[in-house]
Amino acid sequence: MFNGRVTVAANGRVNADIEALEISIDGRVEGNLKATESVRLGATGHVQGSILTRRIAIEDGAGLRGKVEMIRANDSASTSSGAAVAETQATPKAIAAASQGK
Amino acid sequence: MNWMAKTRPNSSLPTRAPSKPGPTAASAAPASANARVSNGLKEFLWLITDSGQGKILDLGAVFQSTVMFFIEKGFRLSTEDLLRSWKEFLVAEEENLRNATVGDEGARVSQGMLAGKFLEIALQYPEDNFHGVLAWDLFDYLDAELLPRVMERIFTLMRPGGAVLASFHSRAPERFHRYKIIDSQNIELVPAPTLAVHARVFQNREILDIFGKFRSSKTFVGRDQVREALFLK
Repeated sequence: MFNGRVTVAANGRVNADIEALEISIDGRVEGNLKATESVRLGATGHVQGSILTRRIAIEDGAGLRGKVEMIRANDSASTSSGAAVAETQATPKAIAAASQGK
Repeated sequence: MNWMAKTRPNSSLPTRAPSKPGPTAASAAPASANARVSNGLKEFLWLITDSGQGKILDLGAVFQSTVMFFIEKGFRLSTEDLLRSWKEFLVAEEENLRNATVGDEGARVSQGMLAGKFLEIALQYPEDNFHGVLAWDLFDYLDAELLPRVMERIFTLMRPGGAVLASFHSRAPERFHRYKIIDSQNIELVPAPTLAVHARVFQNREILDIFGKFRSSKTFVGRDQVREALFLK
């Protein structure tokens, strides 16, 4: 698990799964997001993929095509519930912090 | 799922939901000026309660309050803003057509072909997957070629007994709105840039025809004359 913060800025485009402590999206992402702490979807952000996180903030205007699942409070930071893991569409194929707009 | 067989809390007898807002239907007053009571939502929630950690598909814009509403109730939520996807798809197709060489007849596609092509990328979920589908301000905005295909796809995505909550205007709306859930019986209409033109006003009989494969229905008419329709697979 990447223990940093990943930001995809408004002009950023990412085609990969992202795993991080905190993820903030203002650009476009095609891939699953997994954050041990939080995901923020800005008004210009658009995600096509699943989101698994402990906390989520979605601004009006954001786009999401996919599933939202929350890591329960009693789950450890590194392992989410079995059910939640089973629900993710694919094993993360990349730990991606790369973004054009980062 | 069966409306008549399902027992409501605090009642030993099956009861019918009121067909229009009344004192027992929704007592909580909407908080904001753009809020409205949704008896359809209240009934929808009652119908899907038995599904436990059921799967919900919201076909409108994603909103924090709607996401948290369902997650806090233990549901698993997927969202797909179908009108936005359709608009983006059409823009991309127009761009392709502009870039096509003169005389390239293969670049020309009918509305039916466009609809089919769109559904190769949209609404991609396993069959019998969802316990509930939310579709406020969707079906009466869809192209005539796309609507029956979308209905067919939604039917296959839903589990037997699953419920669809849809809204239909009784007259052409003055402006375009997105819908967010405030609580279990109130929703907020959020003014938004027009994503699609309101295609037509459906008569009640036409709505029943659109949902022809579904086995049961109930309609609620709001004070704003918007009809909320619930259909069961």
